[in-house]
Amino acid sequence: MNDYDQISRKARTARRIRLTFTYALLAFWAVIVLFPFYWMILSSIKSYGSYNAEFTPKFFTTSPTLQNYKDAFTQVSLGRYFLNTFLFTVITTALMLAVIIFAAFAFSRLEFRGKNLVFTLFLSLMMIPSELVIITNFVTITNWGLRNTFTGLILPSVTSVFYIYLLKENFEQIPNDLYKAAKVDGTSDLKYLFKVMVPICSPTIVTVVILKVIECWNAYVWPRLITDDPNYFLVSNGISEIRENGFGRENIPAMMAAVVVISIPLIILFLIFHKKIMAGVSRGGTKG
Amino acid sequence: MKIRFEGLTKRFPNRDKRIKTEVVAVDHFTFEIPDGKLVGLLGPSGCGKSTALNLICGLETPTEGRLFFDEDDVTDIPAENRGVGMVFQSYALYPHLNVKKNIMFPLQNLKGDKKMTKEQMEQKALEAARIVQIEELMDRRPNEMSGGQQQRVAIARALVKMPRVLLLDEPLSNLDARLRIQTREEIKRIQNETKITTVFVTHDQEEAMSISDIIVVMKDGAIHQIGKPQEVYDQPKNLFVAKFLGTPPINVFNGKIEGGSLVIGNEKVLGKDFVKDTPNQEVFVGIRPEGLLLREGKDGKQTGSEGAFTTELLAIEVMGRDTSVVFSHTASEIAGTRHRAIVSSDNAIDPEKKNVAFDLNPKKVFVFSKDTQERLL
Amino acid sequence: MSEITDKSSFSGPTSGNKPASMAVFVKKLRSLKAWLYLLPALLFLGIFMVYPLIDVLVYSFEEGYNSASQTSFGTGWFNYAYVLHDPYFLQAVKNTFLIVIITVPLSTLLALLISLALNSIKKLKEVFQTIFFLPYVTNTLAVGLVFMIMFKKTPYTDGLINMILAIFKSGPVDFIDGPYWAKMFVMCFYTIWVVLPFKVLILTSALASVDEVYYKAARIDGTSRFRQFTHITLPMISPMIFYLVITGFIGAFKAYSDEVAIFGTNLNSAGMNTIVGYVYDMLYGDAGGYPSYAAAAALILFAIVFTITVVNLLISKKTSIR
Repeated sequence: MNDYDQISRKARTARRIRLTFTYALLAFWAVIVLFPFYWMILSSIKSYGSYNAEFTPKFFTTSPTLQNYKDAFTQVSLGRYFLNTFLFTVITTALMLAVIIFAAFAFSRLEFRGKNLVFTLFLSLMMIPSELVIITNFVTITNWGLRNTFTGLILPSVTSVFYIYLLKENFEQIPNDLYKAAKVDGTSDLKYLFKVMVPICSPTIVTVVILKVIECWNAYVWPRLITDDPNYFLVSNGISEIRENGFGRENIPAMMAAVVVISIPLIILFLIFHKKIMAGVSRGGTKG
Repeated sequence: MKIRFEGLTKRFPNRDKRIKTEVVAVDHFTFEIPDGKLVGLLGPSGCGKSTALNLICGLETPTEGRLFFDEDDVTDIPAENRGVGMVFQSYALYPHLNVKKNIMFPLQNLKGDKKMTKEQMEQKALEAARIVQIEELMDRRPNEMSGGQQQRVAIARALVKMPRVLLLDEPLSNLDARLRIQTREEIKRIQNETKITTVFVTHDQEEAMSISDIIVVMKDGAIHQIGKPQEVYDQPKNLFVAKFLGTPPINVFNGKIEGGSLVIGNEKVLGKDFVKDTPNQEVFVGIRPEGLLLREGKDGKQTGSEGAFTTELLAIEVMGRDTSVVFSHTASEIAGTRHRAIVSSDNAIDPEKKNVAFDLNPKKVFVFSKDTQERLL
Repeated sequence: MSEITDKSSFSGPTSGNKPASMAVFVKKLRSLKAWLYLLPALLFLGIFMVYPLIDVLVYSFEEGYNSASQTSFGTGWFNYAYVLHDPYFLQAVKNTFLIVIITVPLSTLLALLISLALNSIKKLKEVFQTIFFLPYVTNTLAVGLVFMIMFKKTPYTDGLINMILAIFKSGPVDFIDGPYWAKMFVMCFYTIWVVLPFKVLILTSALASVDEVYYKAARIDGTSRFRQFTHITLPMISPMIFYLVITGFIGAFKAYSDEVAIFGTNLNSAGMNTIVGYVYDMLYGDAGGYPSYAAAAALILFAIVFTITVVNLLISKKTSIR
């Protein structure tokens, strides 16, 4: 009896300790994740004067100001960068969707000679790192005279072998009988594709869109190579530019305001769609 | 080892969070499982039998009441310290380990003076494998075996540490019909050999009846009857138990007790010998299929005569040894039910006949109160 | 579809060979249509992936290529030799390897720890999951700037991190322009911060996909928590861990924009350049205009990544067959 009493008491204490430790760990990492966000918002609402007067940084501010946000939009072309990124994201994603939907459809439903060979070649392209091909692409775009244009920015990123693969796999899960039935009813391939396959596979398409939007919004390397005219900067390049030349080097509150503004669209999108986005990333990630 | 339940209760919050009332999965269980018996917990799905099993092994903690192994109160003891063996419905064999390692797994957990050397463990594993007759499969992985073989491995793994109690959760439900019969005999044999108190859960009454020493019939978290299978079958305490046991199921009719006779429709089917002093009232009458005896006599039809139970013949199904007579009756508990009587194939029945009349075997007729559904006779 | 074609050839004898040739024509047309669907993808991939792949090889062997005049002296291994002797490249290789060796194991371990913690709780689980994923959707350049500010020591302020260090009676250290180890620390810390969300997400779902019944069985058999972890959890999620390690290696070897985020575009002068950074610097920027060197460096990187991936795959095969 006594033994058993002890065991049950021990088990209860162990459980409590474990839970405390678990929550402590989670809370600790949550602070590390969230703190930079807090710090950037905090710094962005401190006035230039009060920020620079703090030798020891303060964890709060008594006189918040929005002046830095005004500066961010007036002293540097943040609005411009924003618009550029928005256009770049929308156009790239839309074009890519069209390209990959057609390609995935061809691979999954149409019969043609050399299909397997072409698909194998496609898959082997997945292993090619972008760093390898970016060199020639840079030269190509330069030779075509497309530097500092949207076309030059967008063209190399409108296809993705991985997304074609993802979508093709999904298309193939749709029963073939549906296709046969549509054919018997005289539905054209194109109509079948957009009236049947695309709606059925909309979860995958949403996944692809999410991943691509995040990718576009954070694109840095290619835009940096291909644009040196600030009129064509995307937000990442804009930040880089602001850091080196904007505001005068030391106006950190204004810089932080710009950072907040740039971070906010994706964060809001994430907070609204966090379940979908996380599911999408984990799907896209595990299938690769 | 005995297992004693004292008012054991488990309540769950409702799955639909808007509903505040709790679900009672196990409602004040008070009974004792004697040492060394094979006990079947039987009931329809959702009756709380799996929860009861989880309470015994410690995967769930009770809301109320105590649980004893012999004289030890184990209510608050975590599963890992209870020393029970369990076979899961899906077997839960570790897919990355072969059979031998699966069986040895529980032994490797032992600590202190119970710790074994590798040779001892292998020896024990082999013994357990021998009991379930899989010693030649020791190097296979679970996915390389049939369902029946996996089942045996799971039993061996549960047995290897010589548990005080062996628990089986729907042990036969993942097997096909032929394997099911074979495996249930196997379970009976293993239990006989090891003499470990064994509790298993099933929704299949045939399974429970065929191998249990004792069956516990449950519904909605409450125990309806406990007893030896034959006893429970022959003397059901209430309408639910009577209906739940037996294939084909018992035939239930609306009837009444009137002036010392049992009446179904307008026929007096049984007399004073059966009814005794029971007061007049509306009742349910349950008749086992084998309790309906074909009336002899060339013309077969003697409507209205004492003791006859006349029904409308629907079909005759010949099944070799037995013949099943399918009929309907206007006094059915549920209108339009296709009732069955099982009679010997020696009787030749003309399928073109409109009616068929039976005598009743009073031992196979049960009378239940209309209000409480408890058994009266 | 093929059934319909079959039927038409059945009726062949009566209607002559007209339907047969019709069928061939239809087949050809359908094949043509398929290629039409594929055309945009093929076009883009051809121009921006296949051709560059060949071209980069050509570049890497063209000696003294000049992008202005588009001429070269000859072919050979000179570009590789030059790159391998360039102190900037060697520094970049050292930095890259350090980042890989430090961040890949650490981030995987940390992610495993956090995922285990996440999986063992019910309350607040979703809140924590959402918080932990947040860095994935933020612009790394932008948040890098915040990190820079928190770690930087300027004449006006020691910065936040130094303030915390002061509590423990150490510092102040300039993490951004100071000693190498300090810069490497910030770099690795930020890299882990950035890569963790993905790993936590993948591992959490891998852990959740392990059937609960195995743990129940293990508990009944008196398995300790530690043994449950090493003997059940780890083997069952090991494919996912290997996946994360492999992709982690590939990703860390390509480290670049996180470095820019912290140290700015002139990574060479900060001594924090990476191999990819070296490639881009050779291609474009202050020291740019040498696509041949860039190509050689990129191919060296590719060779390293390829070798390590193959080694990883071999190890993972060996361990999972056991």
